[in-house]
Amino acid sequence: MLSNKTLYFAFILSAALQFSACEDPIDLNLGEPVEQLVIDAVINQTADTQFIYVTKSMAYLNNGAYKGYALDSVGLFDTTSQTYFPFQYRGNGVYFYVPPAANTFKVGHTYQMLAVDKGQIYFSQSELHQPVNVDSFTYEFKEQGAFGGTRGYYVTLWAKDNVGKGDHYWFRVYRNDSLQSKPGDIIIAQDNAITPDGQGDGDLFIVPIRENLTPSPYRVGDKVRVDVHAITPELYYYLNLISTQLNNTGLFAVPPSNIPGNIICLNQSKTKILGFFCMTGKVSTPELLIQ
Amino acid sequence: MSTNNLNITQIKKVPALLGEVDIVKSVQLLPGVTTVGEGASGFNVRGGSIDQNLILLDEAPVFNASHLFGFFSVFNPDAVKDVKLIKGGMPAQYGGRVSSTLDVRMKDGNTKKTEVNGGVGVIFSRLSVEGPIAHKKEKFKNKSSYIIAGRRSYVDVLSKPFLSKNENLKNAIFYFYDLTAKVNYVFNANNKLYISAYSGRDAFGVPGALFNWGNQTTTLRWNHLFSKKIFSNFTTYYSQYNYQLGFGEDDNTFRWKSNIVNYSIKPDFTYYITPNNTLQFGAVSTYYIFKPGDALSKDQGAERQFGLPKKYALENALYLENEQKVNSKLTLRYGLRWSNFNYLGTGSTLILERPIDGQRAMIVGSKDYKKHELIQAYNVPEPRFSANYKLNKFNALKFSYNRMSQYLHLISNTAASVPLDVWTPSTNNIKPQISDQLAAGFFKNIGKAIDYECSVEAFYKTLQNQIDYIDGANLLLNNGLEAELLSGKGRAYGLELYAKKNTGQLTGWVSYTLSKSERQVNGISNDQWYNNRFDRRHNANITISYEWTKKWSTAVAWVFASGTPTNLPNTKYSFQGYQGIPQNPDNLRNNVTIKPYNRLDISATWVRKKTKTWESNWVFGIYNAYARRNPFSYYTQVNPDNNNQTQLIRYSIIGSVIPSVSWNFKF
Repeated sequence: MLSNKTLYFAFILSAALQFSACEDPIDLNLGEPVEQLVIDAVINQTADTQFIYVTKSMAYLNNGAYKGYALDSVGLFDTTSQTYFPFQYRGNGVYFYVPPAANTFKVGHTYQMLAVDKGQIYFSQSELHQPVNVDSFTYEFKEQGAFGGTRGYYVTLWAKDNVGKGDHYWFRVYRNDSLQSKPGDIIIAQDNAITPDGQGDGDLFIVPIRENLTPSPYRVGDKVRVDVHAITPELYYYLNLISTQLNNTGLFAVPPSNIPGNIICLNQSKTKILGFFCMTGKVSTPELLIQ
Repeated sequence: MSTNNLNITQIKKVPALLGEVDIVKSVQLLPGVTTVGEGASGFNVRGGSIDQNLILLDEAPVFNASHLFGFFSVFNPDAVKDVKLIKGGMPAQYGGRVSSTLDVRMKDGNTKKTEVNGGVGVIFSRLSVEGPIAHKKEKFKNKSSYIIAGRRSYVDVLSKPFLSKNENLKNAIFYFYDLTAKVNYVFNANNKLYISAYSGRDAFGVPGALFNWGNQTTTLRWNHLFSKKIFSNFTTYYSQYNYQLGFGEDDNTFRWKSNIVNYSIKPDFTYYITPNNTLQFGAVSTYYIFKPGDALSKDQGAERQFGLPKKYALENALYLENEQKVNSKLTLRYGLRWSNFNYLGTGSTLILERPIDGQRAMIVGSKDYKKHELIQAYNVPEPRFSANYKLNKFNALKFSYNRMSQYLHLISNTAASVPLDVWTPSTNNIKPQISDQLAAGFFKNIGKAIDYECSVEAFYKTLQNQIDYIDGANLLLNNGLEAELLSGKGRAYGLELYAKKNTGQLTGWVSYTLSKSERQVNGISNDQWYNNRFDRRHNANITISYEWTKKWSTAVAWVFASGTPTNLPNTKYSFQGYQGIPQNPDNLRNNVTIKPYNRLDISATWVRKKTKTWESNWVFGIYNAYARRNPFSYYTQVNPDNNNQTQLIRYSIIGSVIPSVSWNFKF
């Protein structure tokens, strides 16, 4: 997938036209919104408290908060060890589970998510993949980032892809403890690269990944940490589509399209559920203080 | 019928964006022709996509006719003689695209004396030189000539103050140039040789990234008279479009090149059998080489090649067409074009299975082919027919039917075509596009000198094997591209009204088109027919110029077009902190129509000096005179200043009045 580079090009191309182009926020009747159930479940093997978020989609131009939704129950089932892990409800659509120790959810095991709501059973399945080893996490001052950007401090993640073709990763950056989740912050990899050519299996993540963890450089005093999740190929494609949809603006926008998730309704195949379930093998870099 | 001729004098009268006369922009004012918006490359004819127009520059196809993403076309008006747009009733000699042919002919050059033309405008400057070529024999003196014309933009210079506000674009390069040349040489009464060439390039870059693209064409035509009855042209041409882009510096770089190259030979004959029968026949053979993407990356100095393999194809056609004057009232033209396409090795094909309509196909196998080995062949017989019935001296009824096929496809799913878009041949998985069109019309001329021309035409067109894309398709550097393509049907129909005044102080034309263009693709929009991106229900144009005195003339153009359909989500959700993910629960394609487009342009020409040896004029122009912010598109986005908010954006390419002045000279 070349999405990051094409996006970057779409960005500079449209930026070039900005000196004449105008973008005006407008209001338009987009039709009666049909609310749909959204289950957002990304669970890792660490000892951290694990969450499942259940909400309803809402009208596109409504800028209020998403409404949480309470199911009858939701939990995970380890098909390898035949164990069920029920999640508890905390309110406003948030379910949680506190693992007794790290690796309660085990690498290589397959998990099923089962959610029950008014007699409907929602189901999905995912394997938990092996996390990577992070060698080091460094920073240096640069006049310019590897992909544009102004002078400042840039971080580099020194880590190698797990040996064996077909690994997928998702990089989540915490800047001063705040998770970076803007449309431009979706960073994903197939093996060590953006394109799935398989030539870089087991190597360092390439520059567009390892040096492209921030759209704007860091300043002295900033704290940075990156979580690297080993994910399923399905979540990789899902995030790639989210990235395309959220960065789809300007002259070269593609028609917006719905993103198919991986959660199905067992009783009624026609009921569409939004969202995704994935088990991830997570590793966190040490927290870096820019000084 | 269904044909519009524009000579360069008419084109030069049309008020132009930034004062620069533009052929494609003038073509967009004709009935049945639309564009998806300012800044979009190409044009759409009778509900077709931009790659369905065969754009010929002295016979050679031009694969990307745009400079600056679409603001200007590649044709230098100083080097163009005339332009013919054929939308229907396609003569059998043309083929290879399913919507139209835009036949641009270059000027031969002044055969009497050396002449220099030039202009200085806001965006670019032009200079052309033309003149006679000496001949030994007195009889053929003043018959041979040459022309060479060039243009270079200085947008980069002018846009600097604007670009420097944007940190990322401070040191941007941004320019284009083109060179057009033609030589014609008369050997004797029976033999003439023409050589013409075009080369143009656009470059755009910021530090650490460079992107450039351009076309080259060369045509060699030998015109030979076998006898008074048989006349021939032997043409050979070469054409290519390529682009390259690169990022990074030193040991960490990425380079990507792509091109399409073709070589053709094309003998054409005209045989005047009897005064009432003119037979045209000929053949064309084109060899294509496609380089969809050749990529090289360097990571810490370690090089990696990961391009896509080249593709090869041979396209042939034979045609035969007779024009028969049945009687003083009825003229018929009937013929057949037989097109044949061979997708050749070296190559490897994908064997696909698509269990769910509209979703990515599964690649279940592949097969390798040796050099020049036939992978897949297609043959399409294309009947062509037209009839012209003269009711009297001034009125005529016309009718036509034609079938056309297309074996090259521009893979693009963006709102406006991008220079990065890749041409791909028909393969075992990509079937040729085929169109069938019926058109009928009433034509009326008024006045002895054809002072007025009026016409009413109706057309109905069906299209087969139209390419569409799965949701979230990845079209670039993707070996499995064919798995992401879908195939569907298209139909377009409409009514075109046209009136043109040719003589007097006031000249110009008025056109109105009512049309609809739709598509149906299994797996898209719940399998229903939907309006496609270039559907514009109403389209009206008024182009008028008035010569007040010998020194002053003015021109006005007004354009109105219904908005194009677009896709918009009506709900949203969040996932793992990513806000505002769009969702369209009805899953309908192009569910919203954007607001109509309308624009008024005016211009005034002042002939400063006109003598036998020197001529100069000033052209003052105002583009978008009432400063309408015409929407190019609507799109949704997360508010860049607040990640928790989403907004709907009206995107306009031009939002204000654009004044211009240019100075043109001739000596």
